[in-house]
Amino acid sequence: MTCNKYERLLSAYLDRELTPEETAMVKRHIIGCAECAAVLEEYERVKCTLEELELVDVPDGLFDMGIIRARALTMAMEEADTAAGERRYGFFSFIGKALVPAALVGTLIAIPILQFVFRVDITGAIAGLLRKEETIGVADSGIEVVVPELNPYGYGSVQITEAATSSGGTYGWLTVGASSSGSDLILKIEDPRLSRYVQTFEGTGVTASQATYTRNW
Amino acid sequence: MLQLLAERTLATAAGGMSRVGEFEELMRKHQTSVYNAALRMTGNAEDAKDLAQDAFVRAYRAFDSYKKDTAFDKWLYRIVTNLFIDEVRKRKRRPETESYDAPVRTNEGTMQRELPDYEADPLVVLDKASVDSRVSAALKALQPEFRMVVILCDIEGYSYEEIAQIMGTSIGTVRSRLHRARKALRESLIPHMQPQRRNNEHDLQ
Repeated sequence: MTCNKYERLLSAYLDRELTPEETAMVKRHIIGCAECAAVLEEYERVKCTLEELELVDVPDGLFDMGIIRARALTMAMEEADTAAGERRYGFFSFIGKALVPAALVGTLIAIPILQFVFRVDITGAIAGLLRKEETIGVADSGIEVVVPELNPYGYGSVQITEAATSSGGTYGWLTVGASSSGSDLILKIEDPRLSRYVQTFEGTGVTASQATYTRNW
Repeated sequence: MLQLLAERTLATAAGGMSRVGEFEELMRKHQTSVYNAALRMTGNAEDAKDLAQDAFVRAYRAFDSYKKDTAFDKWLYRIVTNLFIDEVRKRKRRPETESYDAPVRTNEGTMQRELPDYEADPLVVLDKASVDSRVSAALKALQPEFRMVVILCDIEGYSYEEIAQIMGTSIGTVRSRLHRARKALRESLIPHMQPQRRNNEHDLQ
């Protein structure tokens, strides 16, 4: 369809940015083409809407000469400082930049060597570092609560209250299920509304202060 | 000799002061249009204030290198444009929270996510404020380079050649960007405008 060719010219036609030949061509086309004439009219309405947007007043003090000069001075001083710093520590900053990837590669090589050649449990130690045990306080939603020293096959329920300090209203009860992972009992808090505060483990005798939750990264 | 030196020093000092005065005068003259352009570019007053003030700080610092034979406003808008594009790139590298208002990226550029507007009433006549916010949203949905050409052309009234100079690009690029920007704006704005002897049988796509 030839319209496609003209359609691409309409925007520039509207802005009077076409050559005289192009202008004449578009003019002739839109007389006979209702579609392009309609598109042109819509472009014109969009342009007019933008042109007629009301000017917003400048906020007071934004373009105060004192502020502009002070900021320009601060910027110049900061740039001078950075430049001086780079001159002074240029060589060391190069070493610093080289050290980071070197250390990274070194670590990656060292882990399997230590693990398999020297039989040092590195990955276990790293996992241990990442496993963060905390006393149950305000638990985030979806956090696994590990209750140690509990009968692994036992079931109980957990009362969730908003917080000890506030009204202490009961939010609901959660079933505590035993997991197969060792003697740890994993409690999954799934409803985010219920995950604020774990107070007592009814029927188990375990209280909040005895429980810990583990966050696995 | 000494007197000549003293005179020259005095002249330089006076020149320095008048240079500040000259800059201040130019800033007064252009502050409204720069602030309004910044407002349309960034889409919010806080970012607009930062952008506009930063632009004048940079302009002031570079004022010595500004040559009088070029138009100050074009030189200034070049600073505004570069600052804005830089800032957009910086923010792209550290995206903020996902917003429903944020445009969705597609191969053809970006498009606005559309949620039903339960408060929309076809009988309500669009007032100036709602036209303004619709235009702001439509502009914000455009990619920064496309938004810039529309702002410079329709709001600031520059010619294609001037826009090409400001944005450091060719007239052809300005022309095609404007075409695509208008097309996108037409699609996002026209359905919200009151019909104006529009024939729906000639649906355009």
